[in-house]
Amino acid sequence: MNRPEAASVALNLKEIDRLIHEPARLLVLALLYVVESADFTFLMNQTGLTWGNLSAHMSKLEEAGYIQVEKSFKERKPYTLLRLTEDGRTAFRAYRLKVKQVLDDLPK
Amino acid sequence: MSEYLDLKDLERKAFRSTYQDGLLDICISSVVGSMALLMFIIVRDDNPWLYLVLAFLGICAGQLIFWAGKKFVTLPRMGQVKFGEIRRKRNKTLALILTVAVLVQVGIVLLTAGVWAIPAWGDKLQELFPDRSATDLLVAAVGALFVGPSMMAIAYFTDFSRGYYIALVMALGVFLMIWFWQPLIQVGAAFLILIPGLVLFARFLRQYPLIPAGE
Repeated sequence: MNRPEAASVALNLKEIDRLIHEPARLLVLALLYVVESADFTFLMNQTGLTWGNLSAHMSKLEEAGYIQVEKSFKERKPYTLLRLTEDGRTAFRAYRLKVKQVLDDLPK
Repeated sequence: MSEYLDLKDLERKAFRSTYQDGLLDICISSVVGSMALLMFIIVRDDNPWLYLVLAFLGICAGQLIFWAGKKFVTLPRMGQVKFGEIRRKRNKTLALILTVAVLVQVGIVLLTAGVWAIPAWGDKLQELFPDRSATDLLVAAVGALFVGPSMMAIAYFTDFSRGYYIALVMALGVFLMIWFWQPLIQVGAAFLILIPGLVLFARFLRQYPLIPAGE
């Protein structure tokens, strides 16, 4: 890889959304991207994350405005429903494009 | 990128995970078992209402187990998910295909009955299928073709891999049941579908323990 190519890869890497790039959050976002909505238990089972871990990632994604969290009670039990916001969907699409670009730019 | 993050595969895996409880297998086995009970009405003359009621109860029991199992066992353990537009489109396509299949099947049955009723055509059919075993073989093949491809379509459009096995067992069960005039064969087919369902259900209970609220 020559210098300009390396610089281009480095620039693209810098532009990658680090909030999404974390593997656990990436998996949560990817799952929410392919479904309409899912509850906390479903995401826990699909991602293999613990309750605390998922809860922490969920808070970060909610703060960034990427996911919408609806808390309610179902048969007197707390129930948390998650769905991707339009911002989250756009950010995830942009992230995918950026990662693809970075991987494509790497020498074979 | 497709290897890095295959979204289609992720969605398919998430969707298929909803079949891990084996409840659909149990529900289908009740329908197959009930088909056998309906056949008893034709084979035995003793008490048709009993078999009809038992078949109805069998189907109702299967539906009830499916509904209650999903509500009280699966959803609290596995969680709830709503799939997107792709699944809705596939379901609509499946509904359309099944409607056409049912209409074709009803058409074939009515046409056959009609043709048989016309003396000239009935005689021709009699020539084609002179003895009873040949007629039974034809009816058995048609019956299997009614059941097998429909179940395969369900398996394909709902990504229900075990559906192909169920389609094969159902088609074979219907074929042998009609050919040998023996409803117990279809009862056996129902058990061949029920047993994997029960095993999966037991495995599901072990794999997905109930998560206490707020933990």
